[in-house]
Order: sequence, then structure tokens, then C-alpha cells
Amino acid sequence: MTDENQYNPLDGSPLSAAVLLRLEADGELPEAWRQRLDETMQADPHAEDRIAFERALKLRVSKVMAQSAPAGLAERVRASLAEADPQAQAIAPPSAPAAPALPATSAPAPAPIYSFRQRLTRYALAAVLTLLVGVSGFLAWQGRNGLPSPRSDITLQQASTRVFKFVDSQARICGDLGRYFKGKMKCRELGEVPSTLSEYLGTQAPAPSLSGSGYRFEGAGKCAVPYYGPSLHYVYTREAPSGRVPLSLFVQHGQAPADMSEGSLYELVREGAEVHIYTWCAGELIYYLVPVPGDDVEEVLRDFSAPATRVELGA
Amino acid sequence: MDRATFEELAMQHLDAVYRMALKLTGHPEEAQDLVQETFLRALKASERYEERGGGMRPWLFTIVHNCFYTNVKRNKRQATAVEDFGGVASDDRPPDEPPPAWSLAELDWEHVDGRLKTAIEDLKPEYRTVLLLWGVEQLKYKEIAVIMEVPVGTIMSRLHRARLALTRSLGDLAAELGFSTDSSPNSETT
Repeated sequence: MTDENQYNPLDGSPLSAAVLLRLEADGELPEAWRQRLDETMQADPHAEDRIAFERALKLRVSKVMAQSAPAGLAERVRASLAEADPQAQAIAPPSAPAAPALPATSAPAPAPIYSFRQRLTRYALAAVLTLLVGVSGFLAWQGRNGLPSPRSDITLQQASTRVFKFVDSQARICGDLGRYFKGKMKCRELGEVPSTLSEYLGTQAPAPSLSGSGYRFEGAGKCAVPYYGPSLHYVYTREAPSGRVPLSLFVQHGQAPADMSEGSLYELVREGAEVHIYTWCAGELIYYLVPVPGDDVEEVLRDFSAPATRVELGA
Repeated sequence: MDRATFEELAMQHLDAVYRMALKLTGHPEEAQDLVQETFLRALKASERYEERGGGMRPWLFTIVHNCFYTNVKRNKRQATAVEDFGGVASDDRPPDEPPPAWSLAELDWEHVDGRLKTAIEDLKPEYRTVLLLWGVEQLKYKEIAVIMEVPVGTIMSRLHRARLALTRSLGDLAAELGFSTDSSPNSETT
């Protein structure tokens, strides 16, 4: 028991004047101690100043510490909630209401006749609109999936801390194969992955099997590993004395950072973390592997044909 | 609870959750990651949420607090011990203190706020968190104790020491500006 725990005026311990005044300033003084406060106020000429000071300090603290969430965080959180919600994934977006039927008696209107200049203007407008729709569609797609704009100008060294934390936390959250996992994982059969998730990834989604290393595929779904592009999360498990233990693989489609060489395997090491995260790139795909803590990862890395040259990076 | 309802109830507290995450982590980017993790966990646990008055905010605070310290433990970082006051000696009860000889109203607000910011940033995360929940979120001691899963006395003690650090810092400012600080809390021994 520390002195912090012993200091509890609310349990009837002897009270100092300062504590009484502070309780009063905070509006926390129990009625039973009101008389004691009154006595203190009468005996101490500074008591009112103390209360006024404490209240003024609280006001200044509230002004200094008040802060809003940064722009974009709300969208990011909403996107991740939508991604995690199993029910929303099952519900198709509402279709546009059907246009009201024209009265049977209405005759088709004659097609208007436009001059060449009018037609040219209309084509130009249509082209601009198409471009705008395409750009806004791309932006909406990014927003819906919680993806930041791909940033290959961010080096792996710069990205390592955030990537490590994100990948590690997603691996843990999904690792229990619970509700979050079920909501996120679109494919439960490895063979479905290319047909179901390639469009999202923007390239042929790989379907790596780890059965040779004793791992069973549990599911794959969309993910939002920061910085370099859309990504998928694959979860595998293997039997262990404590039950099935999870292994996560993330595959990201994008331009690899400039400090990442295709022939190297990068081992992200975070002080005190249970696992190291292994990342490598092949073509336009970047892989992140979160192994089972304490497992021999070499066999799994061989299954993925990961590069042999190893570079250690602090995350 | 469906996601739409959850979102409607939870997202109105995004700023408050972010503030707490920022005070816990001390880094804007880490705070954003923590906020995202908090809302995902909250959605996952939303079936267990019970309205007890005050909306979803205290519940979200509990989750962000737990997420942060779970991550700390998981990463085997040295979690800050309750006994550790960062060099400030402790005693059973805070002694009576005279009010500062200077008044906050006499000091320039810009100076005060700047000095307060620095002093708050120098506090340990658990002290900053208590200060935030008390000062900005206007929670009661008992509510803060539930969120931080410590006894009420611990909250009061942390609050006392956080206020003391701030008052000392402002006392230094007052002295620099030429105000008399003879009876300031700087002379207090803790």
C-alpha cells in the first residue's frame, strides 16, 4: 500500500485544512465535513484566497489542455469501424430509387439539335465531369478503406515505428479469431482470396499456403497498413500445447520505400516487444510477417521465399 | 447495439478520447493509433455497454486507458509505478499550505498558459491524465478512480501533486516577474 492509497479523506481520515479547501474548490466536499470547513474558513484568513486560487488554476488548466482531434481522425475511425462491422459488410448499399414511370400517354420528346460548337462544349464538359467523378471516386475509395495516400517518400526507417505498432496491434486483435476477426476476414478459404480481394488490392492477391510448416489458413481480409497503399491481412494458426496460436501476414500493394531493397529481409525490432516483425518486398508487393512469439520463423520465411540477407531496424 | 447507433453515441466524444490518448502517449501519431484501437475495441464490446448516466464518455475513457496500459505491459515497457513520484518525496498526507502570495489574476495569461503547458508536459502520464479528466472533462474524483482503476485516494493524491507542481511552476514565474513569493507553496516540503 502506498502513501497515495492511504491519503483518502473520503474514508474518514483526519483532514488537513488544505485538503478541505481543495475539496470545497472542486465541489467534492461531503456535507458531513461542511462544519469543519466553516471552522477552517473562520480560523484561516487565507482560506478564501486558497479556494479562489484553486478554482482559477482549474480554469487555466482546462484552457491549456483543451484540444480537438486532428482533421481526418474522425474519417479514419469511421472507416475502421465500417471495416470492422460484420453486419455492414453483409448489407449491400441501398440502390437508387427507381425513376417514376412516365405517363403512358406521354410521347417521346424530339431530340434537340445542337451546333458543332455546342456539341464540343458538351463533350468537354462531359470529359471534365468524368475526370472529376473518377478522382472523387478514387478519393472516396481511399477514405472508405481508411487508407492514407500512398507515401513512398516515407522511408521504411521513418515508417517503422508506426507500421510496427499498427501491424502488431492488428495481429493481436484478430489473433483471437473473435468477432473482430470474423467481421474483417472476407475469405475463409485460401482459394477465394485472389477472386475476392484482388480488386481491392489493385493487383493479383497472393494466396500463400503455410501448410508445409504446419499452419492452417484461417482467413484474409482488407486492412490499412499505413503509408504505401492498400493491404490485406492473412491469419494462420498452428497447434500448440496452449491451443491454436496465430500468425499474421500483411501484404501491401504499392511502391516500396526508397530505403527498402528487394533482396533484403528487414527485421523490425521494438524494445521490449514480444515479437520481431519481418518485412520484405517483391515487385509491387510489400510483406509484413508477425510470427508466433518464440517460434522459429526461418521455416515460415522459407515458405514465403523471403530474402536471406537480413537487415535489423529499430522500430 | 448496431454500428450506426454505436457511432452516433461514440463519435461525439472523439475529441475527448483523443485528448486523453495524447496525454497518455505524448505523441500525436501514437495518440491517433490509440484512438482508432479504442473505438474498435469499444465497438467490439458495445454489446456489454450499459448506460449509467453521463453517456458513453467515461466508458470510452476506461477503454483508452486500458488499451494504453495493456500495450505498455505487452511491450514490456517499464510501467510507471504508483509509488514513483519522479523524485518528489512522499508523505502520508499533504501538509497545510498557505495560498500563494501572488494571484493568478496578476500574472499575464499568456505567460501563465505557456508556463502551465510546460509544467503539464513535464508531469508523468498518470498525473497528466488525472489533470485532464479533472480539469477539462470535469469528472468527479470517483469517476476518475473508476476509469483509472485506482482508489479515490490515489486520484486525490495524484491531483494534489500535479497541482503542486503547477503551482510551483507558476510561483517561479511570479518570482521572475517580480512578485513577492514569500508565502508561495515553493516553501512547502513534501
